[in-house]
Amino acid sequence: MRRADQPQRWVRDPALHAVEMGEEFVMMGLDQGEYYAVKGVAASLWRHLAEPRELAELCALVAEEYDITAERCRDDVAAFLEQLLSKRMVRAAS
Amino acid sequence: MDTRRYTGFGLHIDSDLPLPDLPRRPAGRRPDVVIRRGRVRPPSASARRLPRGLWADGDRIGVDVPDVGRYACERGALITVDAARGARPDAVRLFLLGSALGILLAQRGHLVLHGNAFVVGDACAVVLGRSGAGKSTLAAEMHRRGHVVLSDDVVPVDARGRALPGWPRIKLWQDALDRLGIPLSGLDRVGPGFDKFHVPLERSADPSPMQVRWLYVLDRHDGPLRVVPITGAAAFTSLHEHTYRNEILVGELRRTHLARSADLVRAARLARVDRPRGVDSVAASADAILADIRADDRPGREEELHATSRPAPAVGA
Repeated sequence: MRRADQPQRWVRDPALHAVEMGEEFVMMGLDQGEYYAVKGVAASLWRHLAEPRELAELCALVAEEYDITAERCRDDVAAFLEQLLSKRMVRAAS
Repeated sequence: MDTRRYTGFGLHIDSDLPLPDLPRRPAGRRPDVVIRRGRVRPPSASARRLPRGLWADGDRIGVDVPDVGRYACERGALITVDAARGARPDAVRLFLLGSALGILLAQRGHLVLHGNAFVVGDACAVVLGRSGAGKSTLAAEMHRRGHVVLSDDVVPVDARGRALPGWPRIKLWQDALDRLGIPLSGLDRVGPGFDKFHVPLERSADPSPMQVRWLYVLDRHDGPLRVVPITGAAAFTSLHEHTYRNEILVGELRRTHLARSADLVRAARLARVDRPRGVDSVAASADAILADIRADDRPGREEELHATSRPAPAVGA
């Protein structure tokens, strides 16, 4: 499995379906009947992942939005990206 | 072969097969749906084989039922029935009006729920639950209390969030009939060898499609009767679980299903009815649901409904 902190750009899997429900996103997983909801920082990361992004870029975007330093949120952003990767919701951008 | 004209779920249906459950309609308008007898080409090598004999093959979605036949649904407009040699007509009809019609309604872009719907005021409530959860018994109870039952077993919800009316009958097991005090005489069996019967409902007029404002999932737990709201991702999981023949949700149908589910979650209240295990009081469940509807039926709701009835923009791709 690829690691989120590789020098690599990541993007949402285009086959994945999601809808915006107020503050949160509800995504349909790959298996029948599997759904995930994300809100807050995770929802804005998801929004940013519409375009191919590197981990450092995602950290910078979140840091700007939430007024914290990129270093402080790096581990959390990497962990969320790992989760998305393990569920095959994002993939390496070519 | 004679073509017979029927209506059901707001559709004009022309059928080679007699369908005594469905109301007839006079000649005139072109049919929305044609049901014909004929040979059904087997699913191709590239077809997706799904559980329960279901398959998806390009534009065709079908179902193979051993000793009954093969059914194919195309473009939400045509069902071809290839009955097995010696198959009983009532068995052929059972799968035609069940799985095959359910598939066709999904192809037409509806969210097809497994449950029943009854009218409350100017809207309707949908009751969902696994087989044997008591959905139909509850519908019969609501009918007894004067609520018009829109449809039983299959509730198609259209792109505007409205439940489409089916035909005026409820399927009940013999024990439920006994409990509700409905006599067996004159009722038709649902299918050969079933102790399940069609109970006709009197309806003064054909009901129109009704806005779905409440959805209740019948469940059981160790504790007293209670109604618990379902929100977030769990609401989507619930709607998926209670979608009729949800195995067919592949390809484009998955996307449509998600968009329709989102519309419904925005416009309606979804809750679970936890009933105590072992005790089965249909009257108590009906009371709890109607009380929940009254508590939710507050002023200002109408505006909210209009504001959220637009189709959801799908993100992704």
